[in-house]
Amino acid sequence: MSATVARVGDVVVPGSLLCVAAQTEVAKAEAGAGAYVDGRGAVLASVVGKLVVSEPKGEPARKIFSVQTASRKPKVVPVVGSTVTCNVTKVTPRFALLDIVCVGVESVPGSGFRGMVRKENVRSFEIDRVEMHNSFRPGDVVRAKVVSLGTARSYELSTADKDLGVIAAMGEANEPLIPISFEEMKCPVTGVIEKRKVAKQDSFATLDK
Amino acid sequence: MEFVQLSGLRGDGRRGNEVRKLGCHFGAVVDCDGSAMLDQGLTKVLACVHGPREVAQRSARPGDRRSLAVANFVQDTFTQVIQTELFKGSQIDITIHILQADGGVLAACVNATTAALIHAGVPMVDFVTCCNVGYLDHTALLDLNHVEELAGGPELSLTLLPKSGKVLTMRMASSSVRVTEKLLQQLLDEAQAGCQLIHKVLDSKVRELVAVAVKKRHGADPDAEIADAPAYQ
Repeated sequence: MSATVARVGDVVVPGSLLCVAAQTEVAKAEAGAGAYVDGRGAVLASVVGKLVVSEPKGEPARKIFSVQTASRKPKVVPVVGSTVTCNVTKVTPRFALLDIVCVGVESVPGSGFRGMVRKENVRSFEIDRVEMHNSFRPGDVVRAKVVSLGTARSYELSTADKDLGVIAAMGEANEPLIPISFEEMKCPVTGVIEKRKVAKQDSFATLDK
Repeated sequence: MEFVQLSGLRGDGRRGNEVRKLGCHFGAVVDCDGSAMLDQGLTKVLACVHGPREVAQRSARPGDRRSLAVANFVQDTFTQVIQTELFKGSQIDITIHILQADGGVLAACVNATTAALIHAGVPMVDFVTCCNVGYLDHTALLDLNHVEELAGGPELSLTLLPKSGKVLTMRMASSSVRVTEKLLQQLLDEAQAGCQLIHKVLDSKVRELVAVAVKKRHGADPDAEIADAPAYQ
């Protein structure tokens, strides 16, 4: 049993004591990345790295203990509520299958995380009138939210919000489409209008011209 | 056969309360998120960690009973230590290759997995170390080798969280000797002491690993930031 408390800048290993419970009465100690709080309220490390203590601005009483790691990439997996960016791989009359390429701002290329948008999760209004083929096409880039962890095969995603939906798509003429409304995109070359569940852009009007 | 000589030394020259030389090489395999080659005496084990990654249906389980028992033991142990609540809906794969078996395979597998998980940066509550202990010639012997295992005396393998002193899992077998409560208590104490010894060595190996990673990136300045340093290799 080692009861020594690590100091800032020390190399810590899983289980290293970062802050004992008694100290939390003076300043409110919290666990950041790579750390956790055990049953007695002590802060311990959960990965190998260097101890960093940060104080949120304006709250000098709060102290966040985190461990800086040297791993090549942060371990990021989608959780309920995270915004994900996906590629559409398959569209059926009931659902669309997608490959998750980004979780928040972290890219997870080749992660193999898959998502599914069911017909009832495409938009928040007139959900009984949704036509999957008029909402997504294979190859579209879609911004969605994780609503549940779904099955072992795929995450359950939703695009039922105005800033969720297709953010980039190629038309039948193999040209990038330009969004013109919340449910239409236009090919700049042929002028053909294709239907999509479009995510809200800064301005449809300027893009229309 | 005599396992403990009059001098108090065992067949390979150790005393009863000594563990074998422990070596650990991180990053032995490139094509995974973390790996460690661990040798405990002549027992040599390679552990690779993939993930956390998406859930794949296939999960290769060993076919024979002995390997399956090791796999179940490792799984039971690490599901308690890894902070799985951070990675809901994903899976972590641990692959273990036993390259040389000279006793204490189970312990070596657990210790190698700990090292590989640390190398992969998977958050764990604590280190986990495992050590086995036997009882031959009226002496408790730490870290049995193959010859001592074959003697058929009681053998106890125990995994410990060395910092909190919690016992996670243990397995005991005795084919020829009846184990009394008093002996069991002695074996438990010995095994925990062995786990602490192994923890000391493994801890220093991990710290070496970090020191190397920092030095590689920042030359001689040990206080430099290591936030975006490359993999420890």
